[in-house]
Amino acid sequence: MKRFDDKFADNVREAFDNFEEEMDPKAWEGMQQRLKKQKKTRLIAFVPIAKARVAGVAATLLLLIAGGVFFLTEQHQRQTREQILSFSPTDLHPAEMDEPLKTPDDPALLTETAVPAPILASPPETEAKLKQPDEDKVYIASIHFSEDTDHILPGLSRDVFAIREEPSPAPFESLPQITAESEDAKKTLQPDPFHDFTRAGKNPLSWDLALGSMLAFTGEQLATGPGISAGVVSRYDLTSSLSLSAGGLLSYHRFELTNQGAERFAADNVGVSNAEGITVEGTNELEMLALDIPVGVQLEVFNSRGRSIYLGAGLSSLLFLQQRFRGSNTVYYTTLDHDSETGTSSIHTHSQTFSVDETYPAFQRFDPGRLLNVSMGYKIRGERNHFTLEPFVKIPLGSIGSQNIRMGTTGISLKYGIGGNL
Amino acid sequence: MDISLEKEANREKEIIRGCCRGKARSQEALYRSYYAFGMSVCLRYAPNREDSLEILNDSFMKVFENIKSYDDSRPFKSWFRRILVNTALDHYRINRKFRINHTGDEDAAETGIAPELDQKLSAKEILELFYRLPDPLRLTFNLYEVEGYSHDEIAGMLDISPGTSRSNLSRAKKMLQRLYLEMKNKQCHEAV
Repeated sequence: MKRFDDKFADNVREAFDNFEEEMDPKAWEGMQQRLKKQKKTRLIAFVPIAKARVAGVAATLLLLIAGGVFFLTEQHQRQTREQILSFSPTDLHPAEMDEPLKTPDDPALLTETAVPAPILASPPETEAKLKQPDEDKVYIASIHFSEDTDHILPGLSRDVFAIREEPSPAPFESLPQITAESEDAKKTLQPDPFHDFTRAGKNPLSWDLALGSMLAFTGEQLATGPGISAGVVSRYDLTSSLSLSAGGLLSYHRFELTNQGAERFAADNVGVSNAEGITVEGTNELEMLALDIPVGVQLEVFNSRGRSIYLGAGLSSLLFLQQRFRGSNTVYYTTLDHDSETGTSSIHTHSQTFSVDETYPAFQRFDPGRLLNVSMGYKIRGERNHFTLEPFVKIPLGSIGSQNIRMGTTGISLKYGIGGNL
Repeated sequence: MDISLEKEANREKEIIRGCCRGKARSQEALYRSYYAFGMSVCLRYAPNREDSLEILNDSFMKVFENIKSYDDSRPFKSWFRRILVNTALDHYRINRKFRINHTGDEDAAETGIAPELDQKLSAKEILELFYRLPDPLRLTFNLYEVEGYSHDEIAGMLDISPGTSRSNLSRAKKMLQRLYLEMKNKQCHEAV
């Protein structure tokens, strides 16, 4: 004969195998609401997150390719430019005094400020001669042009030569005296036309496509894996060295936090009113996608031959598109228990394990100006574009996200931009 | 295979395919089809009816989220049952309190003579007994006696030692005997 325990277990299995219950309509309604909510969250946040890594890799490759093309083009242009401009007073050779100047216009119209001496040439190959007012010596600069281009130099159109057609009060004789030995002559004959002329376009607004890779950090911890950001930053040049910038970047982070962020969940799990000294230990993963809205100012501290270095500072605001916090924790606390029978009190230490898996909907949290951005950028200008390498650090000025974590980031940003050549 | 069974299997596959594509009608059909089965599992693990429904809906959410990982060469019911049990255990882990308020009555009231289960209990009657068991005892009894897990497996699931699992099972059985006797006496008393 079967024991009670075995019979009872069989009874349970049988009763629940044949369990029938009519579905409560409210049960499905509740389920429907949860499904709708999940779909909304997915549409807004999960789709970008699921593809964030792929998009990040693709964007990195794209930017690296763009950067590579940029550098190669730049190098080629620079070499060409250096060949054009690499004459020095020693390259100049005296010409016959009476040989006429082979420029299309009257050289008397030229001024020293209007066009640098090397640009006096005209296509396809021209010898420009600079007459010395006192000694009546003429130096020749040979400048080679390509027939198929309208540009003598990047950013410098042949239209520049039109300036020579304009009447100028300065006579040709007012040009500085040039001799082979003169250092001033070198300066006059070897200006940095690339730099000066690309900056003469007077377009103060530039747009940068930015891609960043960074590590998140809190006071005690550094994230084990990198986060990524991608977006657009606009920049407005107030002066030749001072600019304002603003933009929008999607920023994704996954951060494994140790003993942080689960405090408020602990209180829910303690379940006793007289708990004291609550401490939480555990590892939780924070995953977030946020729209980073940086506003800042940049000061150019170095500029030479199309290369510049700037320092930047500003504030970042964060609009959270997705946040997920999950992990396992143990809460430790003490209670002072009173035994009414013996009249004694005793302190007990307790621990309790609990899991957290919280997902927060999009746009639930906005942290304005919560990060201080400090950066230094190295910028290389091209004809119509520029490339910037920008190490940065975002220092937390307060706690961010629904878990209220004081988190900052540090990393490097690559920017490919157009416009902006004031 | 019986034609009606084959039809049923095809219908289930069709519903699951619809769920994979995120179709609301398929999701509703699956929910309706497996509501009773889901409740039969959840009711045994949860401390009350409200929590059972919550566990059931949490489980269905997991099903809809992970339906693409379901291997359709295996019975859906087994896969779903595993999700239900795991969700119930998660629920227990999240909601359990450190101090389990044992009354100690289960040992004190032991008579030493095991009662006879002379009539089969209905699901409702079994639940009445289960709801009076402390959470760890109820979970251990179900995991061991109904699902067939070993004490080592149960120890891993509930974050306890295998010895505690054995002890929980023993206490659960004793308490169930006592509660059964109480219920039977009450029924007799009401009949008289």
